[in-house]
Amino acid sequence: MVHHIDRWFQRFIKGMSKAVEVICMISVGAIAVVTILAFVSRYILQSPIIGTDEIALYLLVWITLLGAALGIHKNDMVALTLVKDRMNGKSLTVLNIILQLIIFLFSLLGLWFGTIWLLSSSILEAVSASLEIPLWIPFMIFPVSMLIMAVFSLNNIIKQLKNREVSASEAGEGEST
Amino acid sequence: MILGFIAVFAVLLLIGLPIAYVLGVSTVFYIFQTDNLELLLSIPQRMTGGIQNYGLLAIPLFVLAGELMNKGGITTRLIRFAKDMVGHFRGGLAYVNVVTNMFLASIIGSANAQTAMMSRIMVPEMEKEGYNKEFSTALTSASSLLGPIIPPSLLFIIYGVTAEVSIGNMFIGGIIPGILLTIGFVILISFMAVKENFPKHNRVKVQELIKAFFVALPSLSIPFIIIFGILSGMFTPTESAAAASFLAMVIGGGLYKELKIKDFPKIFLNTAMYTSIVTFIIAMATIFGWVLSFEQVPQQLSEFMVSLTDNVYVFLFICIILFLLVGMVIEGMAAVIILVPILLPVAVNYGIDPIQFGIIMSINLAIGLITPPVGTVLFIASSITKVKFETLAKYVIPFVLVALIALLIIAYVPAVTTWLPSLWL
Amino acid sequence: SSVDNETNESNEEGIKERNFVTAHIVPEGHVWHQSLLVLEEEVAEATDGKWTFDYYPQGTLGNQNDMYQQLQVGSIDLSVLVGAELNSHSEAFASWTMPFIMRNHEDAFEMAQTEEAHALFETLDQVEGKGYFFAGMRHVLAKNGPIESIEDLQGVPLRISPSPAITDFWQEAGAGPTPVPAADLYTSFQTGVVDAIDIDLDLMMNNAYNDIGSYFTPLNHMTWPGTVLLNEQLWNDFSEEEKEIFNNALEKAIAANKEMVIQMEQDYMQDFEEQGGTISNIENLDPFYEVAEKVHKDYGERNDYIQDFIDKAKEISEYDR
Ligand code: NA
Ligand code: NA
Repeated sequence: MVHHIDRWFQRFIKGMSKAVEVICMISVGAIAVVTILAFVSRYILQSPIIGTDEIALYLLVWITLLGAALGIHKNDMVALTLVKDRMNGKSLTVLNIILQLIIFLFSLLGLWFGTIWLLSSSILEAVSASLEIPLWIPFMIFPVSMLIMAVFSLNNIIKQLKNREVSASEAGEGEST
Repeated sequence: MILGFIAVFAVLLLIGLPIAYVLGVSTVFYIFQTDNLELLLSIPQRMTGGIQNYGLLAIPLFVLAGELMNKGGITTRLIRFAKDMVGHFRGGLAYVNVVTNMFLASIIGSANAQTAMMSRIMVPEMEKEGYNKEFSTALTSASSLLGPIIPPSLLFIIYGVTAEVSIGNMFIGGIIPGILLTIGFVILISFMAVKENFPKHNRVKVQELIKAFFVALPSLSIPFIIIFGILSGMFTPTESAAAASFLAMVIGGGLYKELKIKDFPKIFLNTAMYTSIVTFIIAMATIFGWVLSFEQVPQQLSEFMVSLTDNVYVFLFICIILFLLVGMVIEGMAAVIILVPILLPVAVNYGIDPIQFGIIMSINLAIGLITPPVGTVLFIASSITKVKFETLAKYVIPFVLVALIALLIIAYVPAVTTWLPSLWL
Repeated sequence: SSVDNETNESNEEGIKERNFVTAHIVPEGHVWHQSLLVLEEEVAEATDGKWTFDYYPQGTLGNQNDMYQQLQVGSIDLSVLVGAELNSHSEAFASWTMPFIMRNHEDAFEMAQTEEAHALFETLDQVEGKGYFFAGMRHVLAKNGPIESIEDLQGVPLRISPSPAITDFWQEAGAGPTPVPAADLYTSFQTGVVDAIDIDLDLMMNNAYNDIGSYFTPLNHMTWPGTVLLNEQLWNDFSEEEKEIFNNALEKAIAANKEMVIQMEQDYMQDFEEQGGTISNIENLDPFYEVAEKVHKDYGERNDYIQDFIDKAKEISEYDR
């Protein structure tokens, strides 16, 4: 039974990280296209398209939060590993669990306050300055990615408990899935 | 209260929590200490608000340009050209390393990315020719300093955004310091080359040099298009980053034919991941700085700084020491966001040009990246080339000293940073 | 923070000790900040120093939207926010971006006292709008030649503050409205990313944009209000006496603001000419009025607050078309 749930959970994690990766890729491509369009319309066609910067900035928010979620998943975040490098075995596992727990709790906090924020009038009843897009559309990514981060860090904790190796190399050589 | 806050910050940092979370969690801790619990409600707003800055859009675009260049064979052609140009001197490959780093720096904006790239390519090549691995790794780490100094530069972008000064001016202002640092490293290598009897190549024929030049020319043109595009008003700095990506794509895909459509998903993903490493730290640093502002810590700190001295040179010296210490432990981007609101008003009070101050700060924090005992660039290089960190730390010291001398010149001769921008204005 | 004296439970009378976390986007030399100083002085006097202000100028606590959100949750008590940019929270505030409905500052200050102008504040959630400061009328500064007719603006890349009505107006007028971030405006103007800017004199002279563009056209097409906003809960916590103190003090601050703004515009115009600038006027404003009418109709139909606002403003300014 437990094994069954675990398999299901692992498949879920894999699917989720794939989805996040795809959204990240599309966002990067879109930022490049939108910025080049902005330049062409402004400089060459001499009739600037309004709102290009707004869209690009929302995409940057998406990349930031979803990319960070992937960073948690792949253990690929900039950290000081001076102490960690000198630890091994059980104590390292305990430290890793503590670190992931901190990230997990922060993500829950972000999820909680992010949801309150999203549902408050400052977002729910507001529109963007140029294109008048309802703000909840770009900003729903905040609570959503906090939830994803929470799940990924939870998965990391489970991995540690199962005593799998989690490479936390400073160099950004994250194990890719 | 502030002491508890510093203690929490230090402990989280030391136990290896990712820097972004060190900033975020200390912020939350601090909010719980104050009676302003409603600040928690504004964390999402400030985190997303901190990233939504037009100037920061240049970050994914310059990162993308770097990825495209690498995959498109632009990097290897730059190395070839540098080799044909300076490879025949004693210690040839060492110069090649510096010169290639200079070329790359004019397209890539970060020392970390540059180290990761060059450690893989240059160090094995130097080793093959009989240089010792430790020296090669140290040189590669040190030369990567040029990444954030020669424009474009992510650190300059972030400084420009935080200090509300023109990113274009920062870019222009970084050119001479970058060249100065390059010269410094070249002089250091020339001394070492004689002392350690470094190997050298045969001189290549002039025709071959010319050929390599023309092969590399499209790649070399990218930085010029960026700079002249900004200077002439064709591009905003952000658009220039998009143009760099576009050119890298055309050159690597169309001209060198090494960049394939199937490479793009991976390139886009790498870009997103690297961008988020930087911008997520910015988001967290924004709430960190914001909570400090609420408690008026910046004002108190700057009042304290002013009370220490009224001499601008002493002030600059204090700043240099401070930045060096901070640069050793905190990621440069986060440090800029936290320190600028505190120190820039003070610096301006002393009559220091904001552009010069920004360049000093950026270079200073970048030097922190290669200064033992802690240095991100050193960690990256040592993990790639497998040189022990302690050994690498020893070998990198002469380079750190040269970089510090260059820094002192930049700090105490304002013209080094202000002359070029003033020509343009 | 805002409510320090917990022992005084009564809301009906008395004056509590209060410290106002006061945030805005402008530097301390700006008229909005100067007007806040008058407000601070007035309330201090009326409360025997029980009310104090802590200032967070120049976006120390975040950009406009960030401050607005903090004002809503109450970590900021008092704020002066750009009126035109509030339209992302309430469409009604597009009223202030309607072109050619007020001729000058006299009209703008009179309009700001009306029911129609104060009605806009009803549309904001969790904040209490108390009144308006102004920063100056909007004009056009150009670098390549004088703007003497609407034709001179055709195809000219013109820097605007991003706002739908402002964009529509300039697009309709034939210019190329381009939003440029404030920090990049100087270089963008210099290098020709934009060749003209839609701006008030205060910003123009303080940022030395007149070093680059020497052709100034006082168009007065729009005004630029700063909304004086309080956290709503805080306002409801005020006793009647306190409310009166605040209102009276704000009235004096607004009067001071009016004097400062009008004087400042005159001084800056003079400075501009003394520094070698050329002032040119547009003889035939009819084509602009036509464009403006279109915008008024468009936005008036969308929103009743805007329609009422336009009607009232035109009544005050006696704009005859
Ligand atoms: Na660079
Ligand atoms: Na260091």
